[in-house]
Amino acid sequence: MTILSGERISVHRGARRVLIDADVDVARGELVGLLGPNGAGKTTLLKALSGLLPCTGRATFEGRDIRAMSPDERSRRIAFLPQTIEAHWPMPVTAVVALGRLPHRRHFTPPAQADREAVRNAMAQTDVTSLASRRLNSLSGGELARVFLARALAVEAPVLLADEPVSHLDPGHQLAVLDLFRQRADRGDAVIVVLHDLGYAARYCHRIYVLDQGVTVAQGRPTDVLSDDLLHRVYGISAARASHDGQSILVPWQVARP
Amino acid sequence: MNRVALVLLLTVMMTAFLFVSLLVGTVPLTAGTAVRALFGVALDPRHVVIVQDIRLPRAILGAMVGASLGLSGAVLQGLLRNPLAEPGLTGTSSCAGLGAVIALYFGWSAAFPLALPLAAMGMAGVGTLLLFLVAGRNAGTLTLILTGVALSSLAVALTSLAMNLSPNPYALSEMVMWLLGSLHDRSFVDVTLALPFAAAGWLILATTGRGLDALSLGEETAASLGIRVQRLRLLAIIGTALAVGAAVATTGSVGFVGLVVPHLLRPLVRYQPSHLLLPSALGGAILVVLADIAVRVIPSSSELMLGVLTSLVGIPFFLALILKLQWSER
Repeated sequence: MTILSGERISVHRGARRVLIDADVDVARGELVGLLGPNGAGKTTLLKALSGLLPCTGRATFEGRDIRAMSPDERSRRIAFLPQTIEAHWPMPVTAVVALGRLPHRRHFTPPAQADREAVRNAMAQTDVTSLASRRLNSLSGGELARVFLARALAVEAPVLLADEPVSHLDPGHQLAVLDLFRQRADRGDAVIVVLHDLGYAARYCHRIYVLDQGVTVAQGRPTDVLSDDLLHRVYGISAARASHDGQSILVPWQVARP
Repeated sequence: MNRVALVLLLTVMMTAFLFVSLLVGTVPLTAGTAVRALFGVALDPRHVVIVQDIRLPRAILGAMVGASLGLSGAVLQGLLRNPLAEPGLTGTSSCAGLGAVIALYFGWSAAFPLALPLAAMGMAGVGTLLLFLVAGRNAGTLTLILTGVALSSLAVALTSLAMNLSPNPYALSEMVMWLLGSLHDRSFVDVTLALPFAAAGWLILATTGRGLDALSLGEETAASLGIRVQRLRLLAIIGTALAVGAAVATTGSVGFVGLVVPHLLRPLVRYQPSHLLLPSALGGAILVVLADIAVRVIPSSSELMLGVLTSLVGIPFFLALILKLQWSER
């Protein structure tokens, strides 16, 4: 059952159209990947879907236009994890993760039991519990990325939009985070994730969308979509393929010669 | 330190300094005399006048001005995510000063007592609005400071122009004395003029805490957490204009309180912007009341001006802050 969908989403930046009539949807229980070269419009699409960017077309949550929702209501339903980490004050990790509960909290009220539990769970899932009282400015890049992921998870929204969540992580944490997304999907949430790693996309995503220059050029199951022809056309590369434990492996191999 | 404990401690300190400020002056009073005078039962009726009509309004105004500056500093620093933001540095104070001088120049304040605070607050609002229009929403430290300096200089230039063209020496001296910043000769009339505006500003600023917390993770994340960033910015503009405008309208320019106080208190509230608001208001009140006690205690031929003193103490602090920032970046 589709929970979040975008129909003919276009975004203009000045006179330039950076996203052109993109259609995308995600159902409960689904992990969907957004792929494409740099500047293809993946981040733009994700922001448009989360209501952070003015766009034309129709973005709906359970059939309701997200622009008709109040910011409060929308923020409880769609959690967004931006690509770049911004942290302006060296707050303790727990306080940062707790900001994910803002959509659920009223003005001037202390956090409720549910808020504290959500924060604890999110921190446990992202393996940052041991960092709880550390300040942000004392963390490594990978630790920061996990803390900010915990912040997004703490919202406990049925839809999570994550922009390159694994780019800054070591292999162990990359796998852990993707496993976590898959688990959330299996539990009935919907996750859209921007990925650059074709191998992970092929292995973890139920469906993928491939964008190029603002246009959706392919969509469907990863094994069907990531053909030699598409990789050549969109990325200008060829890939090496193999299989392991019955799953297919895809590794970018070399830049294709024209 | 626990947040509640910090607020309690600051409240106790503020109350204590407010009380001390009733005791000091050309006629020193003992604590007992001051308490009796405060409740109108002093043996000497002159003491009642001194405490109730001279020192009490002065103390209340000092606390009001300090709270306004401290709170505005905390909100501006949170909003712009910049530890250098301050009503003085962003030009808000100079603009409020310009507004007040305009009111004095045209003699509006003589005809209509609300004219001076209204002009000060109006110009403070215009100044803050200009800052945002020029520096834009994602202003870097440099843009922000340059814009603030430009605005401040413009306001100061226009203030000088008003003094230059001042109709008579009396008006000129009135403007100069007013600009130096003082709590001298203030009465309950001043309190009733300024306090409602300041309080309105405080209330507006108090609502920004949640948004400021979210903003510490950037505007996009804040928006995704349901914060209306545009509205937050507008509330901060209106709130600081009201609070700083009312403060400047009462005392003239008192610099650096808004910079120093949030800075000293930020580590104590673990850098969380919303937790910084109330402590900064209390801390600001403490600092200004303390400074106002100091100007009365420091022996000098004529009473020191409050604004002069806070700047003399504040500027070395500011320089030390810059050195510390440089040192920590190494």
